[in-house]
Amino acid sequence: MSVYLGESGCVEIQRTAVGSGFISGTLEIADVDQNAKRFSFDFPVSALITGDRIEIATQDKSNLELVKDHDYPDGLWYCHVDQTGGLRLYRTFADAVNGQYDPAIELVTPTKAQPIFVRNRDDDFNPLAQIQEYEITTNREAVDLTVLGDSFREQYANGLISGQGSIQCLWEYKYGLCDSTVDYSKELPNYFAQLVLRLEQGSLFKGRFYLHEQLNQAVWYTADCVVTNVGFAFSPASVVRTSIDFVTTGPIQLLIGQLPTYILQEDRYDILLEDGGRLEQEEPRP
Amino acid sequence: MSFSSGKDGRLYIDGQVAAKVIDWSISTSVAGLDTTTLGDLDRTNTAGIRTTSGSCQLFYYAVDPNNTSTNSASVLLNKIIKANSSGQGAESEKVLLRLGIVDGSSTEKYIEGLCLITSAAMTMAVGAVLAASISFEFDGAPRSMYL
Amino acid sequence: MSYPTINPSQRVYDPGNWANKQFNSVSGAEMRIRYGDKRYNAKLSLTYDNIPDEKASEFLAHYSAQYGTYKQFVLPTAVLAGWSGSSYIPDQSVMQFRYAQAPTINSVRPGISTVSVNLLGVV
Repeated sequence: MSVYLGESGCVEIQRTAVGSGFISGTLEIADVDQNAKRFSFDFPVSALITGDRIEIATQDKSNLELVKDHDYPDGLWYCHVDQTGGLRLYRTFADAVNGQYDPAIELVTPTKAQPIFVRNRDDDFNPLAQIQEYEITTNREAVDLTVLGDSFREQYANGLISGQGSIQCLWEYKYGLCDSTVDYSKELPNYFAQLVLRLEQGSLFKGRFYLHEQLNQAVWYTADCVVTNVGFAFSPASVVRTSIDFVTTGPIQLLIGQLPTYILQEDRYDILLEDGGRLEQEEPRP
Repeated sequence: MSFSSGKDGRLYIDGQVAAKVIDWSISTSVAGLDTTTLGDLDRTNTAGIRTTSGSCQLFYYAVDPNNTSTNSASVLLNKIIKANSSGQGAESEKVLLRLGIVDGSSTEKYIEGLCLITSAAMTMAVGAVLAASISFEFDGAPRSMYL
Repeated sequence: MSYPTINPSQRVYDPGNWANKQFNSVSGAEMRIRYGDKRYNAKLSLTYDNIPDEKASEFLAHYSAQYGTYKQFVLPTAVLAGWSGSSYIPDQSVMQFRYAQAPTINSVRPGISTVSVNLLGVV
């Protein structure tokens, strides 16, 4: 028998939206600032979160006039949202989180107003950084079936299944200079503080909660989750901590097997699908 | 002698023991007729009409899904609800109910009477087991009683 | 046969008036002339709630004995049960009562009835 320590666990999340939720608006000519590589349109505050991978598409299927050298009706990019609601587009998650000018994608000024759809679409699971501890609980509703004449209580065995949990993190909202050697695909805890306030698309995320993780064997829960509560703890001479509470929605699965792995090219870069997602490897047969 | 609790309860429908009964209750009341006259300082009464009524809850459960007579809730529901494609259902039936208490004596305690089902309700809800709530009123006095 | 000596549940009494006639002039002045020295037209309504049927039938028997609204009779002191003032029923030499209409009997349940009686004072 083995004893497992908590250091082998982690949490991965995939950014997603409720159902097929999308934001619609009109991209006016004056909404694009080509020099600042910045644009905006009318959307509810907090509907988009920095780091979201968004699909921008024209409603009438005409070519989207927004990104330089991109002549298609739609496109998929990472976005950075500033404090005034302005958007910059990036090709990587880490660049979007940092929101610097240089890595931002160059834009073009449209020739006409364009009605557009914007949708959150991200197929990647990113590990969550700065976790100190997490817990996840699954429970099953018990319905009393005891009747007159019974001496022992009877319970219904097939009640509803639900789950809830919490994650305790050291709060962080951006990558710093010393983070250059760290894998830039890590999600930052501040995302949850923004997620709980997100309008239109809800506070949904897909989560993988690893109980044990090794190269060729892992045990993890996977479920769609809704963030219900985000709290911050401040005290002098102490690090800022954040506590994230969530409940599961829909099926919860406890999986045992090989970790999801992806097919790489000879130069170690991902082989991408047409939608920009990574190509997942099938579990090798024994 | 010991106390009685739910495990000692029984319900009989037309002489057959009912299955999956959650609870039963019975209540008898007498309307008081005021006989106070001018000059009296205390109210006086005489007995009016007596009413005996009750209720029970049963899980909607069939021992044999192909035989509705094994579903006690279904038996009571069919006493009050009468379907008819022509729009006029048959008259609701009365049912002989016996509310019993098994107390270890040779004869269980009970009250029995011919009852009219006055209401039947069922609710299907998420996270709850389907059950029927039945209200009834005795037709006349109880047929027999040993309490 | 005498009026049943049962205490009523409710009692309403109108003492009536003396016979007089009013004359009004154009100016508004009023003149009255009294034509009698006895009060008349007193009304007494009695209700007997939830009494046994045997007691209720006594009222029917008494009503028959008085030939309905024809004969006048003397009331017993029981009709004033609960009245702590001096009796307001005039002496029988001054006024007696007759039935203003037939008594009504309302059956409440087997063996129990409610009786309502309306009486009129006559001189």
